[in-house]
Amino acid sequence: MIIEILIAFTLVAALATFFAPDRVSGKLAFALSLVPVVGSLYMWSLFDASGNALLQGSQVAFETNMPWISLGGYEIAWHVGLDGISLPLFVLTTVLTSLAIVSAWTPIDTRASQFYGLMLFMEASLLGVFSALDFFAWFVFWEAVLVPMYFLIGVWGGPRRKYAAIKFFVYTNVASLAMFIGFMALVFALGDSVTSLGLPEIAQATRAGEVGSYFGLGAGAIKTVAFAAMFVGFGVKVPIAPFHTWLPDAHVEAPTPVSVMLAGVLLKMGTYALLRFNFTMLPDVAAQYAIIIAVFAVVSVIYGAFLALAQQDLKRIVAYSSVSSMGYVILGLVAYTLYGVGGATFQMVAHGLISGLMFMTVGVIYNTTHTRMVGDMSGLADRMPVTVGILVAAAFGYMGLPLMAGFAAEFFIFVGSFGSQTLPFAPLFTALAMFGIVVVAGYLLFAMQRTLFGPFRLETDYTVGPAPLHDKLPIAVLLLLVIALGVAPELFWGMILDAVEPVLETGGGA
Amino acid sequence: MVPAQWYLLLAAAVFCIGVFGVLTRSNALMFLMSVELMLNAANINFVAFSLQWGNVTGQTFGLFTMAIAAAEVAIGIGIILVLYRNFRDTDVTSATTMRW
Amino acid sequence: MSLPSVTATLLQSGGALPEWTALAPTLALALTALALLLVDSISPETKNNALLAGTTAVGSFVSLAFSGWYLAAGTGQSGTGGEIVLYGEALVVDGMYLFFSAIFASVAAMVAIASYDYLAGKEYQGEFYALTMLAATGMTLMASANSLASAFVALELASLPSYALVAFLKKNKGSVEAGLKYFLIGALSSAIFVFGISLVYAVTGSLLFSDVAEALGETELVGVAGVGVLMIAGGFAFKTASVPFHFWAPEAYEGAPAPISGFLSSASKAAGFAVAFRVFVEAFSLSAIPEGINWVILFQILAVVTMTLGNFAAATQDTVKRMLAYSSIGQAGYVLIGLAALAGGASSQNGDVMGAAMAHLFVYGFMNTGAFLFIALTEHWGIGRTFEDFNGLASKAPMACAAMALFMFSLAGLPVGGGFFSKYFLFANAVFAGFWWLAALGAINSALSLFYYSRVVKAMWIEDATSEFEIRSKPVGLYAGIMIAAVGTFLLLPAFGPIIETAQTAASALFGA
Repeated sequence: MIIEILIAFTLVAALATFFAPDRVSGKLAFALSLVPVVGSLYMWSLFDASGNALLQGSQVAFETNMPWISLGGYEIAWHVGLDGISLPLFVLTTVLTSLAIVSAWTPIDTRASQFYGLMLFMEASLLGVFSALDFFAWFVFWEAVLVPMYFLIGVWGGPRRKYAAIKFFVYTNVASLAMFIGFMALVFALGDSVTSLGLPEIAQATRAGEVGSYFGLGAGAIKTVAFAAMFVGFGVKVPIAPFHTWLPDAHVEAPTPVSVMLAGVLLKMGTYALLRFNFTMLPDVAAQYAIIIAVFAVVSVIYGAFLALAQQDLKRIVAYSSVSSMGYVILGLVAYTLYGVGGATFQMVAHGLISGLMFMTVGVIYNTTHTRMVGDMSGLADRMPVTVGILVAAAFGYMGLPLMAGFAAEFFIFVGSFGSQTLPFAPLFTALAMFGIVVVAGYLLFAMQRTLFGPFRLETDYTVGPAPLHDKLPIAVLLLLVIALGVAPELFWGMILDAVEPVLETGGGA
Repeated sequence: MVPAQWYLLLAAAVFCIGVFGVLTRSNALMFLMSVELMLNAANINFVAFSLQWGNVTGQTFGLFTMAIAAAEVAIGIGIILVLYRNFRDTDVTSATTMRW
Repeated sequence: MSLPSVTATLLQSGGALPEWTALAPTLALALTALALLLVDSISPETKNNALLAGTTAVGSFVSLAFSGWYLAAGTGQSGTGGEIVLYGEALVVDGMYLFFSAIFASVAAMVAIASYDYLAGKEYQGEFYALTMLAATGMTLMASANSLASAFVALELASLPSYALVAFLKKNKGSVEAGLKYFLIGALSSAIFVFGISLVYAVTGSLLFSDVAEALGETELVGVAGVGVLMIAGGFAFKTASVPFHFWAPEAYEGAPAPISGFLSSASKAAGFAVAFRVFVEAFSLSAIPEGINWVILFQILAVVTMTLGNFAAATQDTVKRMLAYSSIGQAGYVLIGLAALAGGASSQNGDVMGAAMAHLFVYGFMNTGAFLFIALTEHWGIGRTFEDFNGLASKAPMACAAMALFMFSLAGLPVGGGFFSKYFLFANAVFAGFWWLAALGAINSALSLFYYSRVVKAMWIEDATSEFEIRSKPVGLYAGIMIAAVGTFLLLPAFGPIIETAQTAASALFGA
């Protein structure tokens, strides 16, 4: 019941904030957003799930399952619940939204109440995405996320906001359509063996080999087509190169708090869905085409890293390096080992925090300097010591410095992918992906050195000084969280492994 | 007794004359009269086949049609009247503030 | 939807209420119309808009309450002894009648509430509301017609007041022109319709749906009957604004007073579908009709052409109201799937797909009426008609613009309102019935529609204002109407289950399942 209460509360809070006066809306939104944070932490403390929510022998936490609508022969249920994969993302969403709202206090000065209302609306939809266990309920939230994001980029974005918003909207909508068709083909091919659109039932049926032929295609072909359609559909969201071209535009144009949400949580929707749909439901196809998927992953890693190297805009650098980081997640997933898939899940959370931290810190610098161009500034460390300190720490986190969340995640992934049985040439792919880290370290150090150190140089008619406290506080909190998760990965690691293990048990069944 | 198909042909002919009028006349009143012809073509059918089938359903419906046609004309004349007031014309092609 | 049987025994089939009370949803609307005419004849010059609009709204709500109660209690449905046939089988009360009556009454209520402001200071208010109620009465009768005679009379009862309502602003050239075009095409199509009826009568010797179906099965005059069926289909195409009798729709919706545009494009269209569903399922039943008359193919063509034409035309419009008009033609194309995806024999899919079409009409009643009421609001404020004129409106009227965004996204099928489910269910049921290509064409059109619906949203929310708006007032009635529509559209997302269930049960009953 608590999941519904949190989602409903967030929706009501969104409505209340939307129509509140601009003056108070920022503080009001933050205060209201603390309720889901407290709620999700409370859920964490009560968390008692075991196994994977989609597979047999699991116990789902905070589960509600009641009939909703029936569509022909399929029952659609309101089915929500959390397991070890979704709880960390659930917590990530609430925490990151609260912090993003605080980080919006400085940059958002027009139509503020609408901005915060939409942020909360997006949070409610995201909570729904990570907790829904019925396809239609999940799809409702999945699509509902697009609507506030479209406005957040389109109204409060930079100079090319309209283009970026439309591009984001069109890309992700077309992707949803592809995914929807692929999934429906799979469901129809299951024939009479499923009577609902519940994700657990469908996952168990596909893993039990119930997929029949449909529409003149054999079971194998249907599975491949469904896998491909869903891979493309979710891959746009992740984004996997070459479906990533909407991302830099959206990030550069979006205001900082929106970039934080986009990189921190929205990209995880894609990888989360890949894990839940493609890799849980169709492990045999994933194993069969492991090489192709791994090539996508490694290309994303390397290509993203080199594109980041070529950028001047700090935000674009972080945006492209996100493409690179999400490539690791795909590599971990396709490795199909406990550490690989577990590490990929861990990386979703870790990257959510780290990329959120990076974007937020870049945003704080931009609030003060009004530029994000690497070439325009230097020696910022003199003027904004705290912020710069955090940015350096965040950059090291990105590079995978030990004792930070990113290190743990990447370490798990590489351990997992190196020893993969399903992926041919696993060591080669792992080595190539590791090379990505070197590039990441290279470009981040280069950018740091140019902007932060040396003599201060920035021609402005305004003074560049320390950022206000409410700008620094969220990044400090985030940095602490990144370190906490790096020092003590077992905070989530245990439950993640517990939920990932059943996915592998019958994995590669073909 | 006149064979049934003759009635059908007569009705069809009257109907076609009505359609011809609708398509060629741009005066709203002529348009209305053409529509009346089409309605009356239906009435011919109703009355004739009422006789053929030996029930009064058709004749009754013919009365209904006439009553409704009268009501329709009442509304129609009203609209044509305001058309004339606004456009100083009863030509249906003269009212073109919106494109088709 | 199973309420305690106590409620059911209170009703007509239990003998507690006389049978004619089953028509209460219609009677409530008709009595309201007469009451309004009475007020109007006592004080013809009255500008007591609150009284008139209030009476209309209360009458509509009473009618809606009756429909809801009867639906819940099972009047005229299989649970309590099946359909109730009245007046020499001229009218029938069943689930379908009650379902459609609920649509008409809710739309009429929203339109009445919104008209409170729209008509402020205008003349002939009494007539306006009385005509609206009379048209609504006619629509409910269309949904209950059980013979071609009552279908025709009800159709005219719904149409004649509509002509007058479209031309209501009689000093406004656009309104008069719209009224004229609506009337001319309406008169023409009703002449074609009645000639079609006369041909069917010539072949079958009866006007009752059941007798017609029986006689058609044995007739040798397949050609004459076929022409008759075709002409009758033409009459429905007019009422539902489908190709080939759709020409009037953009003109009429654009020129008419905006609340009336909403009323016509939601309720009147639904009424056309109500009677079309009944006529084609019962009178021209696929299991009885001669091989030569395959109207399913006709509706397949009409559905595809209508949705494609409507969507492409909507995408090229400059004015918002006209875009909505064309999009309403496109939506009619989706609903036509309800007739186009039918198969002969006693297939249970038939009821499901037609029920999904009915559910879409129900949701459409809220979102489309709401959209036109928003246009009424902008007309009230004197804001221009084009997309550009709406630029930046959200900064002045965020609440109304949020509601409009909800309507637009819901119409496009995004999950912020009931339009998401109704569209997906319609397409899914078409796939289940084996007509995947209809669903695919529908889905492509639906994806295209996102383009022009989001243009409105983009103009209101994202573009910067190009001109200063002078928003002097926040009209209570219009806002109330829009908000009712918005809340209804949103609530139909979680509460879509009962709607689709009721609709599919009602539609299945029509197929005798």
